[in-house]
Amino acid sequence: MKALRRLAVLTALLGGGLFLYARFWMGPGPEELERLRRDHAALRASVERQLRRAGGVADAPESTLLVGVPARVAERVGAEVVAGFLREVTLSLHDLKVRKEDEVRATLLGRRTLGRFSLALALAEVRARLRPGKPRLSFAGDLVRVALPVTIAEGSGRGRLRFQWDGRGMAGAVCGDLDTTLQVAGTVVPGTHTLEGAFRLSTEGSTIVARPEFGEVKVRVPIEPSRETWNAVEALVSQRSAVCRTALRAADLQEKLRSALGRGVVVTLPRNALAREMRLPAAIERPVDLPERSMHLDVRPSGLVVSPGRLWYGATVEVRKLTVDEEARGPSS
Amino acid sequence: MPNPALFGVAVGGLVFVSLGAAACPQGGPRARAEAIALRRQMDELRRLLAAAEKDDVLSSRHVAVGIRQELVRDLVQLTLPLEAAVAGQIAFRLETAEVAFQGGESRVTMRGRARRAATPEALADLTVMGGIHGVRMAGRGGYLSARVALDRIEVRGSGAEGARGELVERLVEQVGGTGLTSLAEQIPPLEIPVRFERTLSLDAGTVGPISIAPARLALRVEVAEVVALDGRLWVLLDVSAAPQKADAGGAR
Repeated sequence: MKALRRLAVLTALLGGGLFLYARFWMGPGPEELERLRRDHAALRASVERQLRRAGGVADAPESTLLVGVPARVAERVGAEVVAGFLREVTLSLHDLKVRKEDEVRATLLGRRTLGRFSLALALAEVRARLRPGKPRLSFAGDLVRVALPVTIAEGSGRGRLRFQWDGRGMAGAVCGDLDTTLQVAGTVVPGTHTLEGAFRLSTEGSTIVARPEFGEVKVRVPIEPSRETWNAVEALVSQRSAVCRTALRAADLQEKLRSALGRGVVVTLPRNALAREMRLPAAIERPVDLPERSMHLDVRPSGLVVSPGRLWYGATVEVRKLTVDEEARGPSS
Repeated sequence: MPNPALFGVAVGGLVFVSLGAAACPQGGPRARAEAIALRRQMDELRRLLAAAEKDDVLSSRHVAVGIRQELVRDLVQLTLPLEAAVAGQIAFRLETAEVAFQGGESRVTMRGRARRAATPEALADLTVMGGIHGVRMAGRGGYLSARVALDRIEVRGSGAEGARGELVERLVEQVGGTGLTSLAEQIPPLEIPVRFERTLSLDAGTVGPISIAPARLALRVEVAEVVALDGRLWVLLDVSAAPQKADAGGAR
């Protein structure tokens, strides 16, 4: 009985010891280890294939150091940079002239020509604030094509309006000719235009430089006359005799003025008006904060690749300790 | 009459032990260590695969910096030979380094020798292993930096038998754990030659009727993920720009 008990205890201890040995000390046999290695290699190959496809790494130049900027990041950061850099952009126009002439025909005791008018608007100054929208980018070769919406958000103008009226027939006899000049003012009517151009990329030293290629752009800036201006035009008409008022209202002076100003002034924005040369804010170069160390570091750009989804640039970097002779001559790079 | 229950336990236990012994795997500690490493790497690879399928690795949301393992090896090699003392009694000299980035894991292997002050003739060949950790944007310069972390030591002694044995024991006892951390801290940070601007500046300017006020933007660059794969260490960065106060003197 006692022996049996001892045998049971011994068996339990042996079993426990065997379990602990297998759990914490013994490793897999050769076949299981080989299977693990095969599974590991297959899984690694699968991951590498997936990541090469997903990251576009296959397009990257063969380099010691690579920097890859996805198109999506370039667009987002580009929008942030544009919004930040172009927060205060002013359009200032001086000495703009708008002229309109026409005959006025109306029914006044039969359809007839009432006269001829001439509007000469001289805007001494128009100032407007520009607000950029979110740019759209697309990569093609060494070009980053850009479509940048720009809104003429607010602004004002002032100047002089010369109105000349050469009455004909009865209207001429009643009104005579008019030649008057008014001080006018107005506000710029907001509108959005899209500037299209590109940045051409090239490697320069340790980074990428983007040079703008935007052409001239013609932009129309419409102006809405102020209340005071309308009042002055209305006063011009209301001070005439009843028949003359009828003739001038038939000429619809206010509508002519609105039409002339509403078509706006056409402004030519010069090439690259809103774009500047930029350097990518990431450079492959020797750290300058390092304490003095006898090292040679050589950085040679190895190329720029622009794929539809990502921009890659890289460099071959050689790092080594200086030889004794090099140390004696002084460290390089 | 023997207790039937106890008899049954004894017989069953003997059968269990016999079967267990027959089925026991035959690999030794090295096989076990390799199996553990393979399983750990496979867990990491499965995580990467799942993340890649969701566009979370080398994704279109991050700027990617890829660094060849040879460059990191050369940067580590610049810090060598490294001489350090542990517990004031054992002197290390690390002389060579190898670096591998595969399967989601970075491995740094450094080799050298150790000796004890009391028995200088007893040398131990030393291999310390670890990986690349702590990748971050460092300092005002905006460079990428990384550190070597050590987590394992293998010792093979040489020299006199008694002294060698004692040296090996002392090394394993004193260097493992906090000793390895202390040794790793003596390896200077690795400065990767990639720099990011911290501030972007635009000068005031006028082109035709367009006037642009000066502006400064802060560029924020932070490490989001680090992946060791296919011979490269991929550092994935979150990048964004935000306005700073306008500075009339900004230049770029």
